[in-house]
Amino acid sequence: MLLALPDEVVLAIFQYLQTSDILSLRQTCTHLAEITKDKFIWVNLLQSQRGRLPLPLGARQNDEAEKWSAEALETLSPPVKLEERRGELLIGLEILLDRWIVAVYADGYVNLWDANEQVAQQQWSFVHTGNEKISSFQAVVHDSGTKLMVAGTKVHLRGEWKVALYEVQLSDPALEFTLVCIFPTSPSKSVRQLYPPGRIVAFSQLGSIDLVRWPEDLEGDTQSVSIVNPQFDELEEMFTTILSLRCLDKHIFVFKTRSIELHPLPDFDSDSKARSPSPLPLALRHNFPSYNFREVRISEVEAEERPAERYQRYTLRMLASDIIQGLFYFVVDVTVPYGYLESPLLDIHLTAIYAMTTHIPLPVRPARSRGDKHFRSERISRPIFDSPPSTRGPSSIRPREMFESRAMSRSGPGSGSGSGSDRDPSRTSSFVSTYAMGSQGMRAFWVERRRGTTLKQIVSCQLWPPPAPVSLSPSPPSPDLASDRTPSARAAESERGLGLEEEEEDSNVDEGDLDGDGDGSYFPWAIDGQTVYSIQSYDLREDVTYCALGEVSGKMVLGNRSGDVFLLETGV
Amino acid sequence: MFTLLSEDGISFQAERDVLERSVLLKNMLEDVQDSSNSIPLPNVASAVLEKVLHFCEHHRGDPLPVPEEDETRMRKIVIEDWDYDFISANCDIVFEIIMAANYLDIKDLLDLGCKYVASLIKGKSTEQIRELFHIVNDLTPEEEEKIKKENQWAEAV
Repeated sequence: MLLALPDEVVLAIFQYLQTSDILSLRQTCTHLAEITKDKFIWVNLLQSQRGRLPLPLGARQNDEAEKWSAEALETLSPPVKLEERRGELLIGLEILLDRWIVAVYADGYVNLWDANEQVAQQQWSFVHTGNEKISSFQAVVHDSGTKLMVAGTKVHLRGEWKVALYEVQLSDPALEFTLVCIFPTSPSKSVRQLYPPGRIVAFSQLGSIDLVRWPEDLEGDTQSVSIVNPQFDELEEMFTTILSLRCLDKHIFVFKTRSIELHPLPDFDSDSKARSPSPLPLALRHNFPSYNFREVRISEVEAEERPAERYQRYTLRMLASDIIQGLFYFVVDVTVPYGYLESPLLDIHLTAIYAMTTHIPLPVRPARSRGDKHFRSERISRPIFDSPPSTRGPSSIRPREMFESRAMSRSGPGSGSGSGSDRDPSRTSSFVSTYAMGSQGMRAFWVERRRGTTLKQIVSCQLWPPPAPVSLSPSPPSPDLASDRTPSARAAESERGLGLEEEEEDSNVDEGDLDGDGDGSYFPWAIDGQTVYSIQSYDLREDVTYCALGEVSGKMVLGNRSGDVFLLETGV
Repeated sequence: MFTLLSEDGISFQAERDVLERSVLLKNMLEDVQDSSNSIPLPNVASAVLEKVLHFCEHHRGDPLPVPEEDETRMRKIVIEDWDYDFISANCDIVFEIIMAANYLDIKDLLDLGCKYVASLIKGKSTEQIRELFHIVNDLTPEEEEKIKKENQWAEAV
């Protein structure tokens, strides 16, 4: 009798079984239910999976696994495929409130999963005939977390473009879906932002922006205004396109391929009948002469009222990707003075970099400040008309220390197998295929594919707060790129990186800080990722094309080319 | 030649290198130089002991098995032909053989038994496993529901 065998023999049998068999056994009777909880089984399974299944980082190390409880080991599950999806061609993923997974498919379906209840699944369709396709969408949380809003642009085969706006009431137990409005739009517009406080849907097409205010009830009319760049450099337009928009109360923040702009938000009420788009003055622009951003993720806007100083400050955290150069994390402060006559301030801090090449052209600081060999921060407060921004050309410096320290910490003992020696510190051997940042902009993860292999690594990282500053080390070790550094050498390397800014600590005061926060923390630090998972697949349909991150819980949502959506709960 | 005495009082004769497949017997034989006394095995029935000795005789002289880490790591069940014929011919007493192999500490026989039982379990549903091993379900419906819920994480995989 199986039940009469001593436990150690039963466990010996179980070591030949798969997880599914053990879970079947668990349901047979109390004795087996008990014994299948034995840690030995799960440590063993883990070891057997280590070779072929991607696992969270901690699970890759023996000594780590020994410390885990049997329960924790059990739930180290591979990504769970979200079932019952409808739609084939995935065009985007979101996870809202760390719980609601929104997956939108070009062929017309919006799928909404509750990550807390994987079985519960809701779909609704944006399109009502088979001749329509969804071309773009945005999904946001609304009404302090009680509602979701989803807007999508859809195009009919005949060439009509429409926008549909839905509201999802997150009521228990059943969700309520309401069509808020549907209105026509001009062709080729992509919806870039949904701003429920102003009832605004923001669209863009190349360099122009359309803002539509939806009516309070279905009977009302939409009001729309456009922002056409008055000084649009035609040559620039060939290279640049709007990647993302964020409405602030009175301004709109625009992230483009090679620049950041801040425009005043047009007034819908005063000139809502405008037939032709009225050009509005561009408030501020900052150019990135050396980067070509292809995508950007922008956090929720953090607004801070400073009545005593008579200004309002908005903070946005952004992770932008340049295919060749890597990921760039910016913290942008928009300071809007109360007085209408004063110009707003745009502070752009390049805070961290995940470099894919060793040579990253970093913008130099304006000549008037000292220490312009090393980039530290960008503070722009002048209107675009003042001086052509392109006068400050790119300078290609090699921030060696930075990348060495990053490369070192990756190959350290903490990064586990598969992320050490095979990570080339030169960063030329891999590229980021897709990435996601949390809604607060504190954490991110990306899918990194190494050239010449089909291995895709999911790398997670902390973006904010930056690593604690290390005290200065007088004599840094020789900076060779040996991959077997000791932890102490690593620490010294990162100190060198920080040391650069130490010598010019006082120089950012002359930029006229509004709040005088000259803490010298502007030197971009190197993003240190942890491989939490890797996927080995030869099937192109399994390429991860979209992803989303639930920042608080570490839920990662992965969508692949064949339209499947997976939930990976790393707890990392 | 040494003599083994089974639980039910039947004696079996075997040579030293056959018996040394069992770590327990090997240790015992080190102390016993003369073969005049029979060795009692109060935990092994004659029907089982006969099979165990048959197995040991077949494998006499084989190198003692070393733990094959790769095999368990891959969770592959590889059984050689003779072994498979042997164990499946005795499937009605497979648990007794496993018990005996465990008691006598015969590593390769224990492994064989475990692999065989594992191969029976593999891919079977809870109900099929109950049937196979005549397991009485003593879980309350609430417990069953709880386990099902706990297992949900694995179902989509």
